[in-house]
Amino acid sequence: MLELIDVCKSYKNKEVLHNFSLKFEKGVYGLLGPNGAGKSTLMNIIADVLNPTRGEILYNGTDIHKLKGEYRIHIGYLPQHVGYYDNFTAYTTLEYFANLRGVEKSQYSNRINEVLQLVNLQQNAKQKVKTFSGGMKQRLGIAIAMVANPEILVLDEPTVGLDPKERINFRKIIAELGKEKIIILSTHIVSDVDEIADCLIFLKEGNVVKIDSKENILKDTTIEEMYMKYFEGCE
Amino acid sequence: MRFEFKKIFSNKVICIGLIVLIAYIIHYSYLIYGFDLSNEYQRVDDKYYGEYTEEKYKLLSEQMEKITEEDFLFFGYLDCYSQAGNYKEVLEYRNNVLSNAKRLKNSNDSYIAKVNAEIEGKFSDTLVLKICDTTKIKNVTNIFSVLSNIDIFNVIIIIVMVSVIFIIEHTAKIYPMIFSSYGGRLITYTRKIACIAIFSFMLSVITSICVCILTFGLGDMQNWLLPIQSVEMYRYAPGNINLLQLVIILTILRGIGYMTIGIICIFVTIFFKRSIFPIIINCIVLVGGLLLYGYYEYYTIDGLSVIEQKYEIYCKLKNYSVFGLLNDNGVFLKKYESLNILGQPVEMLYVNVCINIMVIVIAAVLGYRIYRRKGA
Repeated sequence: MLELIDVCKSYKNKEVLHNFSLKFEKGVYGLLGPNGAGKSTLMNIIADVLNPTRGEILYNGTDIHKLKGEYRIHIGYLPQHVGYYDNFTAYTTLEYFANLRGVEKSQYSNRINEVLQLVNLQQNAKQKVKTFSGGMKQRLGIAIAMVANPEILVLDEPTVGLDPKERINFRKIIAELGKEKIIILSTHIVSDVDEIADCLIFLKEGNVVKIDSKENILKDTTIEEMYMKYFEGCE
Repeated sequence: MRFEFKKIFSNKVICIGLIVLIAYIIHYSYLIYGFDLSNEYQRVDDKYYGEYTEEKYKLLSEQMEKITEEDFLFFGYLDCYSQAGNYKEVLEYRNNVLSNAKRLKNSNDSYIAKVNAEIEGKFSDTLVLKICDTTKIKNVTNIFSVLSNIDIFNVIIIIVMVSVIFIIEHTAKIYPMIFSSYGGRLITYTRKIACIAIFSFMLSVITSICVCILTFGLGDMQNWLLPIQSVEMYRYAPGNINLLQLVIILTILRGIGYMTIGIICIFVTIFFKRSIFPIIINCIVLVGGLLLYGYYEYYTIDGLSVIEQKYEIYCKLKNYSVFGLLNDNGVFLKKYESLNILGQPVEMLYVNVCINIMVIVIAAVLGYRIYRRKGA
């Protein structure tokens, strides 16, 4: 279980995330909000890329800053704007991240083939990343996030660049994984989360404007309407 | 760490640079000494060869008075004569140093006594000086003295290499994925540092192998076992090491120098983050430093004392910097020089190596502090 308690983040006296508190348990969490809402900041903090200015993050009751690598071994992170070593093949890229993410060497081949199949890139395993299209690169990013079979998947705008077919495939994968893992998925495309998310978090200017289960939200309105209600007029 | 090496060797600029470097060094070596090696040496009468004695020097002096430039063996005798002349000076110099040291080690000044006791130890070994075909060896050491061009080339390769494994992660925004991994910042950074240190050191080894490969193939291996004082450049050198050991020591010193440069490059690269800016700064500081060092050294050696005096501080500072380990063909091995540190004489070579190791550690630690905060 992952718990954020009063997490804040400031840059040069400007607070971009205010007192964010939530307990994450197994399931898919959709993080919705316009640009500049603080989604990526929150994701970076959860992924231990950024330190919060204030607040605590507990993983199974222990502060993640005490756990350090032992926490990160459970994290799979796909940032919003991700790049690659262009001269590496897809397989080498995954091998590199499997190594960094603490996968045992004997397991590399199995895990890599598994995730390549999952994102439908097994035919391109030996191809250099620089020859990949935007969609293929995005799928490779998803594969990287999943290569160590982490308990927490943090995916920042994961569907950007995917074609409709890939997007449907991606949703199926996430829905399946969400039964066993904590998946935190940020997007500003409502359709990405309205089918698969168990819980929705609406962020605006660093503040949480609503957190609720999808079931509760759908009792009164649609997710799209709720999005429009909070974010109409936002960029 | 193999992935860090993969990043380096998957970069075409570095691979082409290394191939060009190897080809250039071998070609350059051939131009400098390869031609002589493949030519037959003018062998003079056997009685002149072998262990040096004053008798041989006298005989050679007489021979040189008789022989003219038209004689086929003129250059053969000239070579033997200049060797004998050098050995004469080496022995006279060592005897003088030794007798002074023996006298001064009893000085009332404890530091002077300590320095001279050490000098006595360094100069008391009996050198086995042989008159032989040293053309081959002289040319090998000559090439070390003109290695400055290769140093500049190597430093540029190091700068590009550092940018490949640091800047790319920043420009391509890969580092959030690296930071969020189990290895995180510290393990990743340590691997990168280790990779750059190994690569830099290996660059020095490759350079030395390429420089010497022709002599190993064509030269007389026996000559590698001559004491370094056989070469005029090292006639005042303390201790008793042979030319092969000298090449190994120079390779290690150059390796430490390259490692220092690699780590400084990392620090600048992490500090400025942008892709082109740190490359420019590294080039200006490091390549510029090497060029300046070579420039002033040239005039100093040329005996233009005005230049030497004008830049006295610069000349002293270079001995405490990384440049002292590079293109001066082992400046600290050429003569005995020590520094008074808390009343103890410490050889300049050790002082310089310690300073460079400190620079490596400080730059690596400071670099990590910035890397941890900012990313690549």
